[in-house]
Amino acid sequence: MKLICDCFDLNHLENYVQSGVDRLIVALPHVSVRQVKTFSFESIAAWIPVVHEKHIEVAVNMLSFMMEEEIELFQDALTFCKENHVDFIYYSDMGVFQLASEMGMEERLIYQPTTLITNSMDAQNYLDLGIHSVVLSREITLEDTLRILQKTSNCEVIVFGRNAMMHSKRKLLSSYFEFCGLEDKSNSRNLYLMEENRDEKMPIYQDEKGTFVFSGSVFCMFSALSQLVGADLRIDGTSLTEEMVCQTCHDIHLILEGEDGKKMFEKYQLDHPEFLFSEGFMYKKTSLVKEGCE
Amino acid sequence: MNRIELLSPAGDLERLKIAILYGADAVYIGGKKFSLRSRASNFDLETIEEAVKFAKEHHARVHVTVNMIPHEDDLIELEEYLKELERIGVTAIICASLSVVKCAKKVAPKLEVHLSTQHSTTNSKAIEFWKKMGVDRVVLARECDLSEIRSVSESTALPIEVFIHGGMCISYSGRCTLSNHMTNRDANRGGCAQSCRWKYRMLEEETFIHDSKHLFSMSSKDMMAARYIQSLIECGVTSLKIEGRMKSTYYVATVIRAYRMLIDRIYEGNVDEEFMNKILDELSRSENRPTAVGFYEGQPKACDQLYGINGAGVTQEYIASILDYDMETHMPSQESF
Repeated sequence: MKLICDCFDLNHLENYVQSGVDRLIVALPHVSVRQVKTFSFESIAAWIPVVHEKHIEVAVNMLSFMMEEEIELFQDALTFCKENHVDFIYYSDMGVFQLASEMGMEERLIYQPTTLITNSMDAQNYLDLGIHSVVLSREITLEDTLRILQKTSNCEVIVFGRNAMMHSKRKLLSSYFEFCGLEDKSNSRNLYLMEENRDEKMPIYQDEKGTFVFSGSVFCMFSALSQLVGADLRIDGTSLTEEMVCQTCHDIHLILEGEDGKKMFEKYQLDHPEFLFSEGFMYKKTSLVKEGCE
Repeated sequence: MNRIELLSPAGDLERLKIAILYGADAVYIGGKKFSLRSRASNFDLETIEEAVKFAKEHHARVHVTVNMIPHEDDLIELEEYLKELERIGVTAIICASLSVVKCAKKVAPKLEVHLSTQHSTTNSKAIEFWKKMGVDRVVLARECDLSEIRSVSESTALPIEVFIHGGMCISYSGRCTLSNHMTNRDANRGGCAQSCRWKYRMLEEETFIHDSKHLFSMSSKDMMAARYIQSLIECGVTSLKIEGRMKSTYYVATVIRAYRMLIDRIYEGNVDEEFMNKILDELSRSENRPTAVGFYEGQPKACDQLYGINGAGVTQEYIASILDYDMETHMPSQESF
């Protein structure tokens, strides 16, 4: 089992070491999405040997869709990863897989298409391409997650963090502010949506890759951690703080060493009233029913 | 030179027949299993067989969607289903799961396998990968602009299908779970509640900053790409796809007839502005939302979005089909909806 999280600050390596992190994910310019922070190629190149000295793996977030004119850019990013001994590359576009396989780098790839790995057959079929691992969808039940883990090795489960609900290529915030004649706050990272009849605050932001909307609640699988045998565990840092991510890494270790996950879940609810915690779809099957559609 | 394919949606056998009679070269339908629209489908295997028979009599093809993102129990009986589709004479399946692709290639090799837009394919490298997996055609992501479609088409050996008309997902297709979170209905297994088109208040920190007259929405205008058909033909695109399996018979007839006329006139080299305006006028009579050109011209603008009272409204409403007309009484008989 590896414990994995996003890196907020290259200078805070000691925080991650103290929290028991096994792998840090960093974002590079133009190829990453949903990143907590983007770093320059130069700073990452200088940082990797230092991280490796601490026995922590380095992974790159290459989760952006690759448009045709960006192929060279992604190729350069993969070359950078190869030359600088990046351990793993998270990707969601099979074009990135194709490029990496042409460079003999399949074994460093981790497929994270957010919604698409929902059964053991698909998980295994992608693993059979020679990639390192796959990240399971967060919209499946705990029962399905466990069944996939029983049948498939090399799976990663995101056990803590907000769920990425929507990625549009459109600049939806700019468009809205322009339409309404409001001050353009599309660069703000403190914007939230609230459905007109509900009160859940869902983070929304816009960057060069489009618009992203996240769940109002922080998905937390503390109560089931001990059942996720063989899986790598991931904390998604989007719209969270480095402090909370490091604390969570620390607490996940405690749970894996025997502390009660349910009690830890309740403690988080009490200690962090500013966040809404949920167990997402762990015990909730989604319905296939549709009324009025395209 | 092969002429470009006009690919129509159909929600039932009547709409399939209308689509073909009004000029579709191929029709895509969803069966009762493994499809994003399976719960709303009227196509059991017997009806699909009847559809294929009708299509063949009119030199048309039937594609069947097998495009749900399956959960652990959803793939049961897939092999038998694919074998049946092959036996019936279906031309192609449209799918999004690698397991479905591989299964089809193994058990029903005569079926063409088309990669669904649910995979949001945006580049020729991804298409190269899917070709190795045995895929026969790729439906490009609706996020590609015309120049990207052109360069992808030039760089790939696989036939390309693009959407030209109908509703647009605001998200990259296949990657949206708004509906799952907002309604517990799985968007990737046919349950999409279109939560993107709902109205939302907006806050910065704790302060509301939205315009109370026009709440925020992620609702896009529908796509109408009639003016790009000639360019798409020149790009070497194989198939032009219309969205809307849930739309009415009237929609299918109106939209397919308009694009059929346009495509035929383009091949005759005989499209002037007057004719194009006639086509645009005809298309405006179908029950779409207000329309825009999607990503064909690049990043959509503020005017391509729908806010406030326009939210999800279609501009026309289908009220009835005329079944017969009594010459003596001058009265039609009609089937209302």
